[in-house]
Amino acid sequence: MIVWDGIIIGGGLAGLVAGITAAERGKQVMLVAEGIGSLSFTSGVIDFGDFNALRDRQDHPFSHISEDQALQSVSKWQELCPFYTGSWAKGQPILTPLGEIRPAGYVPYSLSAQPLEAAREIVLIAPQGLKDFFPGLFASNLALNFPQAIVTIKPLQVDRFAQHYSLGKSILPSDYAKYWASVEGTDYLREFLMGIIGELAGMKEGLVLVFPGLSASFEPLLRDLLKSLTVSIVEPTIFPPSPVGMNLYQFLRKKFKDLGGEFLTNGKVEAAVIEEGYCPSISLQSHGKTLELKAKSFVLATGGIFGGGIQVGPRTIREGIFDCPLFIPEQWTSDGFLGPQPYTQTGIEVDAELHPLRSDGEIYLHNVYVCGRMLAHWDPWTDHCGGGVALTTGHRAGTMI
Amino acid sequence: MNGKSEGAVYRAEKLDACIKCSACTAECPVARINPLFPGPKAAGPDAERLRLEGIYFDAKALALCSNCKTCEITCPSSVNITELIMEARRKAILSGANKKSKRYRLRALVLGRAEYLGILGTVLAPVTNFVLRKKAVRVLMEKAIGIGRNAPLPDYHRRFALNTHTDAKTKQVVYFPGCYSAYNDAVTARAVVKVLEHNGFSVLTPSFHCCGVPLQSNDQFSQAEANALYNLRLLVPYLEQGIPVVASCPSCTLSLKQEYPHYGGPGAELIAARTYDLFEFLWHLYENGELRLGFRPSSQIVAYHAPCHLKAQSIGTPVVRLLRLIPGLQVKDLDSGCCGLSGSYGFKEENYALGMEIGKPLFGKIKSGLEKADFSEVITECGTCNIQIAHGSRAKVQHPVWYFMKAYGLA
Ligand SMILES: Cc1cc2nc3c(=O)[nH]c(=O)nc-3n(C[C@H](O)[C@H](O)[C@H](O)COP(=O)(O)OP(=O)(O)OC[C@H]3O[C@@H](n4cnc5c(N)ncnc54)[C@H](O)[C@@H]3O)c2cc1C
Ligand code: SF4
Ligand code: SF4
Repeated sequence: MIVWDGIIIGGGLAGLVAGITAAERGKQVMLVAEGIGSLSFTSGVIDFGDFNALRDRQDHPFSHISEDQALQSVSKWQELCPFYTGSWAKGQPILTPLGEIRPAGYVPYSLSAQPLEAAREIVLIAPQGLKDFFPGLFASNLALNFPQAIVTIKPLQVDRFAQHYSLGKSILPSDYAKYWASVEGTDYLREFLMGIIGELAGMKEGLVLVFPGLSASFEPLLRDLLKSLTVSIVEPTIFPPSPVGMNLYQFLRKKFKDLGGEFLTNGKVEAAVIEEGYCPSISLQSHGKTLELKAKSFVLATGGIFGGGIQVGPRTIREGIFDCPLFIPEQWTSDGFLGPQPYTQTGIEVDAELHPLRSDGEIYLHNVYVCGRMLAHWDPWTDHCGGGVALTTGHRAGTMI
Repeated sequence: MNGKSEGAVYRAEKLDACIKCSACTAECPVARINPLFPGPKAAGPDAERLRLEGIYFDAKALALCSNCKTCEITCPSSVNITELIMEARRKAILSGANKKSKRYRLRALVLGRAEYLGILGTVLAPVTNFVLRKKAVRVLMEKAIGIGRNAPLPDYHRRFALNTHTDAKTKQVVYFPGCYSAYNDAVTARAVVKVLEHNGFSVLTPSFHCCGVPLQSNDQFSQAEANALYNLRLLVPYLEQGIPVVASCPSCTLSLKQEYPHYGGPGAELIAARTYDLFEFLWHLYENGELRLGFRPSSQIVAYHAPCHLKAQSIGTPVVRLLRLIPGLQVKDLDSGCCGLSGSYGFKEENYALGMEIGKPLFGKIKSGLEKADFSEVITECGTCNIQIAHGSRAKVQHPVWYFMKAYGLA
């Protein structure tokens, strides 16, 4: 049986980055994923929170990553996705799905809300029937947040979705985004945008368009179109499933394959063989057959409780593949829905090389590396560093293969 | 399907697994284009909750699902979305809740029986003219008739159907050619046999009926079951001897692996474990050091389209691994989604335009890749993907087995 250099389990941000990093280094790698990870939730935003403060926190995933290593991960990332913008330790504003502003780390450039700060005239494009988008509320939030500018709403209808409109059926942002990325969609958009620019010819200097559900950063046709226009366009983040997140997922998956990696879809890894602190093989059920896969090393990037990598039952809580020992806080929840929740700290404790540890602090498996949301001692919601942890630890794991 | 009571528990568990992320619907190629289709989340796990309470969806809306399985490949929680949709459709049809016009039934009869497509042109032409007006179908028909002329059906049967004796001395494998290979592209079916024979196998090909996938897609659930039971009966003696079953069409393979075990009857519990995608099988041989190598080098760059029904099999892309064993040959994974045909879905009058629209990103990618000379040919295992891609992009599309024929010096 062939022995892969590395097998990555999990196709979220952490797993994909690990896979790409290893494949770039010429390793023969396979990535096994049950399904799409949490990228569909994220609008492609990669936050680092307050990196140095988090680094100082004992056992936080960042405590295993030096600032140099983090910077290296970021520069690798920007090589991989040149359309990302951001600067280290300096947040940039982005728009929430409701038109509020929040600081963010690295984002696809069309999401950066920086242009709004100098806007004199903001036109909010309101594609008819766009799911979970509330133009009135959004516009009033924009007006509050950018009092120097006049905010207007510009409705947008497209023949392509005429049937949706007449049925009163809402349209997923990703469906609009896929249409904009097509030749016809881009042509339609060109005329529409030129029209607005023409109408507001006098305002050219301070004119900014806010356009939900566009996902321009990933699509060459749209990128070219926006470059040719003399006006800034800002995309807000959007309620899931986010077209930008889905595009990022597809972009990374394609990169991984182009580098020679193999992507095994619809594959839920169920078990691992463990021999004296090493794992020689893992297995999954493939329609009545057990598919055994051997590798020199493995990356565990199965997304924690939310991603399915940690299973919580009425009485049990365990990591399902290697049965890695888990850190489980004594108290599971605390008061205050939006406050820190202890259960979020659940995960695998690791050493500086991301090996899973036993409760006595010894290495549990010498050829397994843990990354992303599987790691213990952090809370993506209050630390605001979900993407940053996945990126840096995924990158690290990819260099260990 | 059998096992109703445990099935209910299983279904409820799967329903609980759904985290309502809507990623399936965002990726569903049909929901993207057709507003009348509620999408996998709504038609699958959401509606199933109501179905468990005895409240049913309009089966016409469910019939819009092309059964391409993209939703299942996307779902992070392994919800068996298409099984839920298909089962609801099956119930609606069998209970007669969705009576159809005669014309529609005739069409389903014809399209559902890919086996008959080979003789469609003459016998059933008047009935299916409205279907045949579509170009994609004409391409298929041309192929069917063309191949019929060069390799007439009786010939084909003589070659494959009668090869059922077991010679215990050599290694044996049962080949399930599938309708497309059997009736539309018999030369490819023969190539598969040659490659297997080249690797020391004697290849058995009992006279199978259609696997049933097109029948299911056309709501002919009882006929699909009858076909499955018939094929299983033919397979039982081989399955019991532990002889592997190999199929070269991913839709056939998936149905043998995923659907057949549900039908019960003899062989049902053995079929999934003994069935292999052709390249999954060859890869096993390679891993065991049993695959003949000595491939002739090639300087070609080919673009590969992974069929949806292969992606659903949880085996990765063994053909890409194997092609990379051929010195000099480069393979690029197109990774551009569903071709839009999905069995016989895109052949249907009302779905033709939809299918073409679904396949657009893929066709665009192929056209621009060919123009820029990023690659010179397109390969895919699935016969109907093959037709649709050739139709949509005007590219030459081949089954990957031909690259092994060349590399072995057999073609
Ligand atoms: C709602 C939400 C919003 C977020 N917003 C932001 C944000 O604004 N900014 C930010 O920086 N971060 C954000 N994040 C966090 C960040 O995206 C995640 O921390 C990060 O993506 C986690 O990535 P991961 O790869 O570890 O896990 P996941 O993305 O969850 O991926 C897990 C993968 O493992 C697979 N898997 C699980 N079990 C198995 C198995 N047994 N076999 C095979 N495969 C398996 C899954 O199918 C999936 O592919 C958000 C996360 C969520 C959930
Ligand atoms: S099988 Fe294909 S068409 Fe049917 S719901 Fe799933 S993704 Fe949509
Ligand atoms: S992708 Fe899976 S979990 Fe998400 S909504 Fe669809 S069925 Fe539910």
